Amino acid sequence: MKNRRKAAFTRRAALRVGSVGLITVTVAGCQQEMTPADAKSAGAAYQTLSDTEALTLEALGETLVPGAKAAGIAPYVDAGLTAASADSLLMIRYLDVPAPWTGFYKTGLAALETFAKGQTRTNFADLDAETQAALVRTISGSQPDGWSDAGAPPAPFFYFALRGDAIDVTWGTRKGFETFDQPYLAHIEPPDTPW
Amino acid sequence: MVAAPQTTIPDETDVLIVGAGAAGCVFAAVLAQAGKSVLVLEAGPGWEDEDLISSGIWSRKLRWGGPSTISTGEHPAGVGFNSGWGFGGAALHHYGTWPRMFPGDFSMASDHGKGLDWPFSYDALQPYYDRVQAFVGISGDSAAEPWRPPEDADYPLPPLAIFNQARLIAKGFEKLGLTTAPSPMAILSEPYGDTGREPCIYDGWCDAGCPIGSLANPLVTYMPAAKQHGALFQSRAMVTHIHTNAKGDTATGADYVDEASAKHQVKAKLVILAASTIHNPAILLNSVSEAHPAGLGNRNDLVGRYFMTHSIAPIYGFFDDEDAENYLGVTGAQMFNVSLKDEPKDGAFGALQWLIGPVVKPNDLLGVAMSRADLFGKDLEAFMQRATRHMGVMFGFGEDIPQFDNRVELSESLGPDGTRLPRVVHRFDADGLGVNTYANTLGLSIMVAAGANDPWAAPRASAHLIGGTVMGQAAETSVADGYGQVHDVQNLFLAGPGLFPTSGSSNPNFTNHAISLRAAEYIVERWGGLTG
Repeated sequence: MKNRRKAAFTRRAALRVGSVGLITVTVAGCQQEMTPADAKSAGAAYQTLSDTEALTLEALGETLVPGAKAAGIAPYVDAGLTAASADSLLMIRYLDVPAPWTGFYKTGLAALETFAKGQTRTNFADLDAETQAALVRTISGSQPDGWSDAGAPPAPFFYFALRGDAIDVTWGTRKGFETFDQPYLAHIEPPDTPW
Repeated sequence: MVAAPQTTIPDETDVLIVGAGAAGCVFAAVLAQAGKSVLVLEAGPGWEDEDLISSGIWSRKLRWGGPSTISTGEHPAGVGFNSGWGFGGAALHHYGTWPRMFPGDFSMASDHGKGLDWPFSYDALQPYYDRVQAFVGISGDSAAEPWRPPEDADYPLPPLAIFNQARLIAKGFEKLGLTTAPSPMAILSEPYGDTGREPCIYDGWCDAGCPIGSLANPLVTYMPAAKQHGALFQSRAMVTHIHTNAKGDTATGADYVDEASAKHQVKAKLVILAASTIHNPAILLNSVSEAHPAGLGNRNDLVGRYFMTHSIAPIYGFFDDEDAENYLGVTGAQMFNVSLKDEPKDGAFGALQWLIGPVVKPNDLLGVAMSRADLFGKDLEAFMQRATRHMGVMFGFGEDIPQFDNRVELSESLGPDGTRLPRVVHRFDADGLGVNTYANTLGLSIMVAAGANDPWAAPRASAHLIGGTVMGQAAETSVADGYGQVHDVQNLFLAGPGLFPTSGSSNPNFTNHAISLRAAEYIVERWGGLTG
C-alpha cells in the first residue's frame, strides 16, 4: 500500500493564515475583525458579556495574570462565548462543561461580585490589587462561605477556568512566549494573537 | 478545510464507515484496496494540513465540537481533552507515542483473576503491529527496551533526538536502578520511504497537529491510501442510528444528519462503527428497534460497560543550573520506562508507564503554568520565569482495571434527530488509585535522584478513552468478538480502543491500528459470508 501525499509544506513553512482566528467585534456600529488586544484598545462593544461583567472579568484576569487586561481577556472571552461552541477556543472546551458556556461565565462573575461585596461592600473591580488577590486566594482552593450556589460553578473550578483563559490570552501567543524568551517555533504561523 | 458537501454522497455503498479517525481510516484503506465501495461519514470538519496552526489555543478546534458529552462519576474522565472532531479524529492531535501493549495485558483475568481477558493473545496481534509500524514508520531503539518481546520486529527508524530535559531526568531512573529507553514514536526521525513526509523538527507542536506529516496522523497515513483506492470521505455528516432488518441480525444502513440538520439515509452491505469510544456505544444505544429494544448489540446490558481511562501522575522538578531545553522535542515523550502489571507497586496491582521529557509550552492544559494551578499574579510570573527554561516533566500513566459500573450511557439531554446524548460515568478502583499513588511517590524519588530542586506532583489527571464496547469470546461477557463483529449482528463491526478489554498502561493508538488492520483483512477474507 503506497502512501503518497502532496508536498504542501516544507520543514518550516511559516505560513501566514490571513484572518484566521481574528475575532469579529463591533466598533462604532461597524463590524470589524481584530485581535482581542486591538479590540480592547478600540473599545469594541461586547456581544455576549455586559460592560459590568467585562469590567469584573478584566479585574479578575489582571489579578490572575498580570497583563491579561491589556492582552484583551474580556474581548477574548466574549468572542469565545459568542462563537458556536465548535469554533470556540476557550479552555473550557477541555473541561467537560456542557456547552453553551455563557451561563458558566455569567453566573461565575456574578458570584464573584456577590462574594466581593459580601466581604468588602465594594465591587471586585473597584478594590485595590492586594484585596483582589486576597479574595482570589480564598476562592482558589475551596468553596468559601458567601459564594453563590445559585447555578454558579464551584469557586475553585471557576478560578481554574478563568486562570486558564488569562494565561492563554497573555502568554499563549508569540508575544507571550517572548516574555519568557521561549522560542515559538511555528510550523504554521498564527496571526499576531491566534484566535 | 474541505467544504461540505464535497461530493454527491451516495445513498448506497458496500461499506459504510462511521468516523474518519485512525481506526476508520485503516478500515477504509484496506477495504477500498480490496475493491469495495467505501463511504466514510465523519461528524466533524474535513481538516487538511493547512488547518494545523501552531498554537495551543488554535488546536482546541481539533477537539470534539459536537453536542456535549457529560463526564461524571467519582473520578470523571477527561473526555473533552481526549476526543477528536473531524478528519483524523483524536489521532489528528495525538502525540504519536506508540508503545505496544504487552502479552500480560491480553490475559489479565486468567493470570490474575482481575478484569477481563482479550479473545486472542499478543501473538495473534504481533504480526499486525509489525506491519503497521513498517507502513507508518516508528522511531525507537528496540535493543534498549528490556520489556519488549524479543520476537517483535525492530523499529524501522532510529530514535528521535534526545534533549536535556529527558537526559537529566533519566539520570534519576538510573540511580534508582530503573531502565529508560527512547520512547517509540510514530514520528519520523529520518525520511521514510516515498511517503513525502518530512522528518521531525522538534518544535513541540504535535498536539496542534503536524502539518509536515512527520507525526503519523491519519491525514498522512491511511486516509491517503484509502482515497487512492476510491474511498469517499464526507465531513459534517453525523450518524445517529444504525438500522437492521426486521429479524435484527443484519445491518442495513444508517441515518445521518448533515450540517444543515437535514436527515439522510444510506444503505450498506456492511457497517463499521469507528465513531470513538464515546460515540460507538451512544450510537448503538440510540439504535433501538423491535429486535433490539435495549439498543443494538445490547441484549446483555454490556454496551457502554467497562469504560476505562489511564490515570496520570504528573511529576515536576527544577534543574536550575541547566537549560532544560523543555521547549525542544515532541509533545509525547523523549524517553520512557515500563513497569508491567505484576511488578510490585506497594500493594496495588496494575501496569505503569513513565513518559519522560515532553515539550511544555507556557500555556495550555499540560503547559508550564498549569503545572502549578495554585499560583497566580506575581507568584505565577516568578514561577514562569524559572520554569520555562529549567523545569523537567514526566507523566506516570497508570492502568485502569475494567469495572462493570464504569460506563458510557445515555443521558436525558437530546441531540440530533431525537438521539439522547452520551454520559460517561467513571471511578478508579483501589488498584487504579493505588498505582497512581505509587507513581507519585516513585516519581518524586526519581526527581530527587536526578538532582532536581523542589520536586512536586500535580493532582491526578487522566488520558485516553478505552473500553465501553469490549470484545471477548462470548456474547454473555462482551459486545463483540475478536474482530469487532457485534455478536448479534453479522455485518456490523466495531472499531477503536473501545474494543479493548483491558487498558494496560500503553498509549492505545498503535494497538488501535493493529486490531483494525487485523479486522479489516478478516472482513475482506470473509466478505461473502458476512454480507450474503
